[in-house]
Amino acid sequence: MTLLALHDVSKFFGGLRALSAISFEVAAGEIVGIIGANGAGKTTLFSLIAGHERASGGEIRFEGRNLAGMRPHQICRLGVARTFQIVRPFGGLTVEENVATAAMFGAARAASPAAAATRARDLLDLVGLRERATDLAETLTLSGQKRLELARAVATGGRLLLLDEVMAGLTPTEVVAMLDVVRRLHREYRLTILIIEHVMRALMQLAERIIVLHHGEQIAEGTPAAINADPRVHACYFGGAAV
Amino acid sequence: MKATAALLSILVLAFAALPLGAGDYFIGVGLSVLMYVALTQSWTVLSGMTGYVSLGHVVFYGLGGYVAALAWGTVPLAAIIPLAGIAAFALAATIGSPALRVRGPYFVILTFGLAELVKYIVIVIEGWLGKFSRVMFGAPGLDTLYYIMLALAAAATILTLSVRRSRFGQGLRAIRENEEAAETVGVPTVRFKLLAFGLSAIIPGMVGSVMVLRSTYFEPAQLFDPVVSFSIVTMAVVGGSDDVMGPLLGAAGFVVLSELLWANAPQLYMIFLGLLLILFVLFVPEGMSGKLFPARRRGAR
Amino acid sequence: MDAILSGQLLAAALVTGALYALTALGLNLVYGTMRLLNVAHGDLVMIGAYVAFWAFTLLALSPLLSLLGSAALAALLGLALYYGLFRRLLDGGKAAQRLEANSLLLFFGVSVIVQNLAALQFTSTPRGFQYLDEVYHFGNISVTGNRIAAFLVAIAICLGVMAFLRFHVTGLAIKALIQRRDAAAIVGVNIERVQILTLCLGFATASVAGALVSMTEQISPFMGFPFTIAAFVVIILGGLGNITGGIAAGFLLGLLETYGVALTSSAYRSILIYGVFVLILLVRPQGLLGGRRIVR
Repeated sequence: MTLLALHDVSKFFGGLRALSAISFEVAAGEIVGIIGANGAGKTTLFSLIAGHERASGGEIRFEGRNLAGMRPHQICRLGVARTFQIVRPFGGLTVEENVATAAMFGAARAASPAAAATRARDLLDLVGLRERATDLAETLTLSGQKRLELARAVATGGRLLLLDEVMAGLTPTEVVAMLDVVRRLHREYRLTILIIEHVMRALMQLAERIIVLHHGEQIAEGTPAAINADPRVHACYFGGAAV
Repeated sequence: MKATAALLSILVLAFAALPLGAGDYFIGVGLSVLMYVALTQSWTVLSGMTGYVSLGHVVFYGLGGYVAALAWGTVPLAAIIPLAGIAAFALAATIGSPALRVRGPYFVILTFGLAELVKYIVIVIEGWLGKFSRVMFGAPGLDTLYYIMLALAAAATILTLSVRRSRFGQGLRAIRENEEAAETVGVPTVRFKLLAFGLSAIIPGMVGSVMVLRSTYFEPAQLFDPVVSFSIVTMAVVGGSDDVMGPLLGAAGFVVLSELLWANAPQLYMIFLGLLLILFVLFVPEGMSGKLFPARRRGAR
Repeated sequence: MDAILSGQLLAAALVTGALYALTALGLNLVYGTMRLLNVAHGDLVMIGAYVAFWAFTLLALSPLLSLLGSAALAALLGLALYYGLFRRLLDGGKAAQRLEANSLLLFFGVSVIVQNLAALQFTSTPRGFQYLDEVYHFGNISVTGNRIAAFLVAIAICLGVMAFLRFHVTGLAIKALIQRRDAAAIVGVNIERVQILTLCLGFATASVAGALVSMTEQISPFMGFPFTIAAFVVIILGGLGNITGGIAAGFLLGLLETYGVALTSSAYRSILIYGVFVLILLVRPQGLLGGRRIVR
């Protein structure tokens, strides 16, 4: 079943063309990666899907529904969750409250504060933050805040998860741990994942399919192996060397 | 929760008993304390919870007073006070949509500017109507007004408590911490902010109508006094806006202080207010209630 | 009648405009370099006015000379505030970020303290003095000497600052700081020194404006508020951090206000100023963010 479908999507900021003619589909349960140099339009794409920006042209459909004109909270309620490239925790709230808030307001719409708290604790267990549950979110390290962001996004109950450079700034050990967390979430919460990443090793292991963006255009799409071998991708992104 | 309810019930009883034993002066002081409790609690529903700090809350107070001044004589008391609240809510609903799109310090100066703008508009309107001030004859006595104010203070406190413990309140907190992230996890930010704004206006409107009837005199420049806005903010900051006890502490403390200083040296009182505001903003942002009851910050609010 | 009125009004508008431009100049510099909304700005005008008043009344010193004293006092205040308060807000730490909206409350607190200290010291009664009040006639227009002097001095200072920003190394550094703070640091601008200098310059110019105003208007401890609001309106209209734009906008506001009041009445003056203020904030909230987003 197609969960997300983009058809000829474009975005202009005044005269600047950030995205043009983006078309692809994501089937339920897939993990699809998005790569491209900085400024290729990757985060803009996420902003369009999640509703923070309005597309200048084209259609974005989630489970068949056209998302045009919807506000971010409405799109979240439909089942789309996202993390941010620069983490945005609710700093003055506790780690548990961060996740519980998402459980209360998201697509999952927890029936009571107790239900929200339970869901929050389960997710904190999974991402390894349970012992920090009563600490203020702003006291976490970057790695902790990234995992919190992830837990919070999944807590909304969304079926589609948009991960924006969730590995950025992590040490190699932390990357391995994060990979594991993402895989577990994908499995246990039956998620479909669209993931922007620069950390190639991680992405190649995670994604079944990769879409390559360059200057706002879609220049390639295929399995990690195919992308790795694609000469156009090499020229634009890898600088000529294979990963 | 139980402890809070018990404490508040005792306070209500204490205030209710005051007019029975005390003379007019003390009833007047009690009235002032209750007034600021009502104003400050209402203010925290918006500014404490969402972080959108309003420095112009006197606009709702003044509008409510204006409604009372206009309606007195033709409309019964029991209708005037709710009417004042409705008028204030209507004003908040009208300006809230565009105003709440402005963030941070700009929202603060915007609210200040709005309050002043409304003040001058009322002055001009009164000029057109040929009135430079209004006097109310046959206004209710101090005791009646005192009990109405007690009801308003209680209502404001209950409102704050309810909002804090509700899902709505949790959403407001999320908005305060990071508005964009809040929207991303499903909080309907625009709607919630507007509702908080409206709720924070109703009781101040009603308080304004009571105070105009207390002084039996209405003059726009006097009623729409920025010092009221400033006092509310200072009481909330010093008392603490993250806890229902905060405004109670702040209001009581400042009214007592003003009674001591105002008659002889109003400037000293204002200087003191300014100093305390600065000191608390810089060094004790959680306010007195935050310092006295730190455990209350998390968990049972 | 129209001809005389418009010539006369124009003269009044130009003087008011020049004073607004000068007052707003300081706020623009401070906001441009440090993104601090100083709501106590108008109180600097008040301080300058009182210094001039007392210098004239006690020492028979011309405001055109004592404005140097006003400037010096204001610069000292700037230094004191910088080391006392602003440092804490500018270091960008977590506490500073949380203080975003609260920073305004700090300045508000300072404003209240300054105004009430003045009221305590000098009482709230408005005061004035006579200086250079011989009337000069230019065709149909009559202007008092003090207004001409105020106009000339204000213009001179505005032009002087513009030239400084354009031609002097430190002036260029200030412009760099306004435009791209981080880039300025990389190319070797000593941020702290430039900030301190800008703050003192901003405070000093506002205070000089006050000295000039004292020649033409009555002064009181609470006269600062309208100047603060006017200064904000001017810098927003002219573009935050845009010094030239701010000067032009100052004159624009002077014209708007003078002609607006003439066509309606002085009761409407406040509605005009606050109305424009509120409208700008509502209509262009993004416009206020300039080059830097407020992080919440």
